[in-house]
Amino acid sequence: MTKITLVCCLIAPALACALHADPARAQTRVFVSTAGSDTNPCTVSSPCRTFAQAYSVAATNAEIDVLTPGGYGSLTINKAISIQGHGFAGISVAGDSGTGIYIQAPSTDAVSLNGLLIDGGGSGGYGIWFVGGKSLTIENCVVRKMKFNGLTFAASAQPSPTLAVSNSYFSDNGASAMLIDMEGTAALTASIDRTGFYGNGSFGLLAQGAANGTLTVGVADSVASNTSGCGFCADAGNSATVVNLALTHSLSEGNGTGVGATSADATVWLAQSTLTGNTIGYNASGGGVINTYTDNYNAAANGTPTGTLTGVGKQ
Amino acid sequence: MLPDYSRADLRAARRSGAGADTRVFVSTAGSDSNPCTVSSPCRTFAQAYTAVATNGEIDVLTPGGYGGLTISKAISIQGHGYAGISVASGGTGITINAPSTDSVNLNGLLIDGGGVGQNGIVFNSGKSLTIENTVVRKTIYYGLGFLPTAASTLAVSDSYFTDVPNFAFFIFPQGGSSTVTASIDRTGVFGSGNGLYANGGASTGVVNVAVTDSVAANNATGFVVASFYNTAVVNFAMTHCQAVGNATGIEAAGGATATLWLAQSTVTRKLAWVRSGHERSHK
Repeated sequence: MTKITLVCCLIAPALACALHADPARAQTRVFVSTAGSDTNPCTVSSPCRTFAQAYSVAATNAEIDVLTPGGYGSLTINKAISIQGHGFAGISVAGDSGTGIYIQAPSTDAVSLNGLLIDGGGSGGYGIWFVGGKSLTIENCVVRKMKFNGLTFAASAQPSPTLAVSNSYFSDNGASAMLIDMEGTAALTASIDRTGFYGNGSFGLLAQGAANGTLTVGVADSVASNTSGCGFCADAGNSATVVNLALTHSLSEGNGTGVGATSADATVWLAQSTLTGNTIGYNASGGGVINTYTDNYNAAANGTPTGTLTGVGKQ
Repeated sequence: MLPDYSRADLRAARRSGAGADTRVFVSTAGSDSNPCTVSSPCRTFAQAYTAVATNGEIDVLTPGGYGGLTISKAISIQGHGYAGISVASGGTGITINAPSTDSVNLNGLLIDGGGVGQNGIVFNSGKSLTIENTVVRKTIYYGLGFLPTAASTLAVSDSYFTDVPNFAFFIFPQGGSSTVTASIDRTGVFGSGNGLYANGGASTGVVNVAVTDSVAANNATGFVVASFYNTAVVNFAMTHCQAVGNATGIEAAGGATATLWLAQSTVTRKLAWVRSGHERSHK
């Protein structure tokens, strides 16, 4: 396999070789390293230097594996792929329109991101932006200091994609740490687990309906703290999307608003969670409903809430 | 195959003298006379800090010790779980004196006082401090001392503060009337004097602390809240936590403005009620 790859690179410029790689020879696991070079074939012994280059030689459903700590540059993803950052792979994002990872894949294709550190330094626009694919799975990632959103998960096509985020942190982002945005007509679901939203601007997690269909988000064992705006929020605006945000065993603390359901067709479900130290404890307004299983803890110093909670029975 | 220097590395190397980099590197194979690039890393945090831009990142390449650091600007340090700081006698591992606009992120560090170092991490000022996947152990006075003079925020997750005879984890705003908010999640304080302690006695504002899924074990006092002399309002909300094997598990140690909120937690030693502390338990 290695010999064939070398022959290809000898008879053509390295860049052309990469662009016109025979799909049969595209690799199922490709490697990047700070000691690598983008003229290399991205093998473990000859790694590339950037995610973009490794992606261009990776097969659909392949894996990009990171060998050493460092920065590997932004990436646009148009096919199923997984990136293993091992906790030490960085992407530095610069510029208002800069995006760390932009995902627009076919509806058959799943994308997995594991162990990445995406940092906007306060000036890079967006961390991860998903507009199409079968699913996006994020584990053990840190997305911080983006000027706008940490993660934007926007779905408009059918069938609707799914999002799963686990054991990750979204901190110090200027707008939404995580925006889950339904722009289509089917059913979008997202699961967020053991994730922290710290020190963000307008929203920790916003489940937003902007079209039709249904948006269902489940959050467990997670924390939203010190958001200037709303920690965990659901809003459908003037759209017909039915938004349900279920918050279980989580903490909303020190936010402008702890938990919000702020439009018709937006419902938040609160179970075994703690609200403390929020300027407004909860905001149920504009037709929004906050259901509580009456097993939550409103600890001290939540400011006067807007609206009322609706008690619902456990099952 | 010989390593190939990419254009990115060469640009960084040429740039190192002219301006600060957004990502700098340290390695035990590096040297402080190097420009702190990935191919020519420095040896110490202090040297890397001088080469990194505000809001930049110090990235640690190899396991080892990298020395103490004073932080005066927004920065993040990626220790990946294998970057050590040995704190010398009387010293502090990381001191943070940043402007109120600046956030500091510490991830994956191992700070060890060896029984002689004075403090692990001391925060005096800055917009926020976020600590993840970090271990601070065996310092004498503070493991983590969060002592802001203005409205700062603290977020700690997946970290451990152990074997500190005085204060493993102390939230104690200094002066001012601001609101200080701290969230502590999946964190352990073990084998120390005071485990996790929020004290409003030196400021007149509000101190909001929320602790979830955390453990205090084998300390003299596990979880403590106080506001002596009834100064700051302190709210200490514990949810789904465990206090085990402490001489005193949970203590509301004094001050009518200090309240501890307890939910879904397990305490296997006595609760102490001292002076006029308030304790509220959710049934």
